[in-house]
Amino acid sequence: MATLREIRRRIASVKATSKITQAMKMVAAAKLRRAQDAMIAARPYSRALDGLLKDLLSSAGEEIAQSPVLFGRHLAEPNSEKVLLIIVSSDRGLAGAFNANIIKFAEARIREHYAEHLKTKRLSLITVGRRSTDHFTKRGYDIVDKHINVFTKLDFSTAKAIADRSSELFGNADYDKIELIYNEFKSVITQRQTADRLLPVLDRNNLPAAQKRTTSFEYIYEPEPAEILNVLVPRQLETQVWKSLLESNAAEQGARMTAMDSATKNAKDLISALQLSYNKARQAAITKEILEIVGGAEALTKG
Amino acid sequence: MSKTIKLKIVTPTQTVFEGEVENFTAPGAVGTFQVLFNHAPIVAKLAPGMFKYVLASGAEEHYYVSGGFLELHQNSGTVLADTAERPNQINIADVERQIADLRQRYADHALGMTNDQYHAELDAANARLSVARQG
Repeated sequence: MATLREIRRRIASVKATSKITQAMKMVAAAKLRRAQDAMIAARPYSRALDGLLKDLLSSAGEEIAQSPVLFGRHLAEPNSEKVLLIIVSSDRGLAGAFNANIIKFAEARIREHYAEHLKTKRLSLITVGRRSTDHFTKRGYDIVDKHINVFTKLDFSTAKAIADRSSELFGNADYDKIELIYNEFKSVITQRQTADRLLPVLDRNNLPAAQKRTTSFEYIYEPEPAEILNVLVPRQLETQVWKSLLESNAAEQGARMTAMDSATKNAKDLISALQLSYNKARQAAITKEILEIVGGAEALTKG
Repeated sequence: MSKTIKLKIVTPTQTVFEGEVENFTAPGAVGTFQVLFNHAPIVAKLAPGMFKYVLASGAEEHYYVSGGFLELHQNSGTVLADTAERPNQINIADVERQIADLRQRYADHALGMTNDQYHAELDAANARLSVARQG
């Protein structure tokens, strides 16, 4: 049985740990609130942009039908499609299964959809966050670009850099398909691993039906719709990347908060278990001492 | 019935302004234009420049927008600005330094960009400076 001193030392150490996890939980909660605010603040712009894009697509008509950015490229050979995956993780750990989940999800997606691409070196990655960067670098994936330490102070310029690089690579026909893989913020305690198509903007096999405009007015376009689209599409990409970064950031803080909360609870359970065995050990020691005294006294009277 | 236009100015990171205005003036890519009550539905690309609106009280407010779009229908307009700044948010000394730096690099033939890009950047900086001085 552990000595009293050992148990006392254990209790002190677990208590110290629980103080740390408690503090980390508080910090994560504060950061989560800020991350959620940023997510909400980004919504009006992205909603307005989506609406504008839909309007423009239905008005621009023939002029844009051949645009590879919008509709994708026709490949010369059937098995030459090149794919770029943007994988968003976090920079720091201690967030439960947050990073493990997104890495597992990305690897499953590669196995299921892009196994051929990987074998014939037609698959590359852009990694965001230290965790996914380390993981995929170690395993020898082709990494075009990496963004580390961007979540400490998340800035729109990161989203812009990723979006610009993506459309440059897509424009040069280096890649024919670009996907965003990230943790979507469902609620504070749940994240959903998501893969979104970034480029081309529309899915050729699933085009929105050329719907009749239900509005009673026609816009004046200044300049031409196709020209506006040229500027609007890059904005749309930036917004999409920005949204996924914000989602992932909020999801990370949520995951960390939950993880630290259960760590604190575990520590409390552990402390009460240790406290119990400490009390038992103390009682046993006292009992033993009394028995010794009594035994000693009895020996004297008999003598 | 009040003759005001619902106006919203949004950027990718926040909503900058939301309210009723008498009229507004936008720096269109094709030319600056003013929008009054009952303007026809329009979608316009914006150039870097001054965006200005007049509130029902007659007060005028200015912004520098670095580009973006305007969408307006049925007296409800949305400005999707890349960035939008009030004059007092712009550091005049910084912009002046930026302009001097651009001119210097142009003179030294060390631009690192095309002439068109140089002029676009210089125009944007000058527009930003003039908005800052309005405040």
